[in-house]
Amino acid sequence: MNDEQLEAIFIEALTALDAGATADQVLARYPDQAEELRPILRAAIRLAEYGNETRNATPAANAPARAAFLSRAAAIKQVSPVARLTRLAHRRVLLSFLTMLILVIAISGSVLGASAASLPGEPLYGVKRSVENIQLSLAFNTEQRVNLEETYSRRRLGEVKAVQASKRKVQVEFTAPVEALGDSVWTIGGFTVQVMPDTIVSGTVRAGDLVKVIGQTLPAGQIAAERIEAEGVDIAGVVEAITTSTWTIGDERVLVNKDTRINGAARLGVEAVVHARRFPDGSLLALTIEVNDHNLPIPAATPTPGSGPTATLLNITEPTADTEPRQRDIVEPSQTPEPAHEPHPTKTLQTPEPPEPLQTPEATRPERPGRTPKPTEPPESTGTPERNGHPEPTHDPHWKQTLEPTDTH
Amino acid sequence: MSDEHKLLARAHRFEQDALCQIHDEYYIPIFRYALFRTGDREVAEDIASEVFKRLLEGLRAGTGPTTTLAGWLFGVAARVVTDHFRRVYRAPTVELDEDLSQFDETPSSLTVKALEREELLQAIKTLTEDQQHVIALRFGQGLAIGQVARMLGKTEGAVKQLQARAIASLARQMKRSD
Repeated sequence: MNDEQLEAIFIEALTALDAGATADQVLARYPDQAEELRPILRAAIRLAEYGNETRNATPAANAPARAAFLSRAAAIKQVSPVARLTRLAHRRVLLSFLTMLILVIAISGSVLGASAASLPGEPLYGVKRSVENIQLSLAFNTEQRVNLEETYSRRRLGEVKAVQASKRKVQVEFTAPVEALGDSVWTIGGFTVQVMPDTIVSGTVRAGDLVKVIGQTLPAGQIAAERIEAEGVDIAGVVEAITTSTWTIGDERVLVNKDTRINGAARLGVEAVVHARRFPDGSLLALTIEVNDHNLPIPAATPTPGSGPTATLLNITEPTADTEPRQRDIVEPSQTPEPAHEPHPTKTLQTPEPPEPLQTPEATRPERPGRTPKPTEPPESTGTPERNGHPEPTHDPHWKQTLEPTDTH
Repeated sequence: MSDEHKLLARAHRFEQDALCQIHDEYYIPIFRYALFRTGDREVAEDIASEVFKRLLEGLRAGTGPTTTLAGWLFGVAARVVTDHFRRVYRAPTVELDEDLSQFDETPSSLTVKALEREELLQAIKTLTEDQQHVIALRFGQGLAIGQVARMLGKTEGAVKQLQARAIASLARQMKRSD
């Protein structure tokens, strides 16, 4: 018997094993090739056992991996129009662009060098910011862009410090976390910021939120804020739907992740107040969710129970307390929340699933309904073609049947 | 348009729901694929994350999956595993405290099983790329011959042959070490 014929028998034997035959039955079917077949079957069984082990393994960091994946996706989505424009520019005007660049370097090399050290209010500061914007638009990838943005953000804070030290009155702009909220004085990124009656505060600001401050440095060292832009908003309404990744509050859908703090029991039909961060694409990520699970009245600005599934942005224009994280929210027309996506099909779910942050350990996490079964699930049928997504495993673990060691000799 | 096509179209638009769904559905299978190939949990998690990173890059650059998501993801996983092995071979490290508890099992069988597993893993690593990919999909994911064939764009006969040759090669090596 040549190798080709033997291989054909190997294939037949493995197919028989796959179809449910035991190793001994397969060997009995090919008595003349039993000696060659025995180690093959043993290797196949060992592989099947190893495969079963890996099929039961679960990753330790599934939730962080998911959060990192979504955050990376959000960053790419945000910069992709710029990247596309950059690619277009590269393609169409590459030559003229290079020529211009050489000219710019040749003529204004010294200007650029000098501008690097300039501060807000100085003549070359505009050049410095323009160079930064060009560098941002030329970033090769998201990572580079994010790194540049971080560098520039740190640079802005350094500039504000330098300007403060010079005691000049200069327009500044920086982004930093809110450390403390007082009546008229806030601490943002270590700076004392005066919030005046005519200061425009957009979004809902709480301690810890990242905000962009536009204002003027005053000779005494503090900063008079003209505008404070927050990414945070508050939403109140009835919990309409809960999935592992989203909650629907009234008609607003908010994303939840492992960092979302949920106070109270997650239930449909109860009132909840969500403090969320709004991304440039309009989507909302819940930072905290307060579930009113005792039917207690929620703050006055929220809709009364029974007013329908309408989410409401809380507008608390006059601060009332300094001890608790304060909210100031002047919602501009452009910030009226709109559902970023089409209505979610899970609205019809009868049994809410707890969101991911509440589900540890990972191994106990229930699978989402309607999903294609994963390979770890016991095979339900064989020969059924997969619909979509990951194909259903049809391999039967019956290969675990072991050969007697005495058979080997 | 099939559900998978719709999902892919939404993923190409970077819709967060679609990306969530893809990650929830495939992260664990890809992790298990990498675990089968490498035998190392941490490495398998890194590989799975890298696959999803490449998915985003592919979606952005327009080189991502267009027809079969599973085929694309497992194909990329295979390449990332290969890259990993190349790096390891270039800069080999001596593992003094090999983690024998990569899989959940009783302590009594731990050492013997771990040694058998290590022997099997070393044997698997000597197979061709295609053979390793096929047995990882067949035995690690539990996919049927037909499913693997569709995923790889090969005939069922070709997949059976790849599998038979892979197992014959493993059998020879296991016989030598017995």
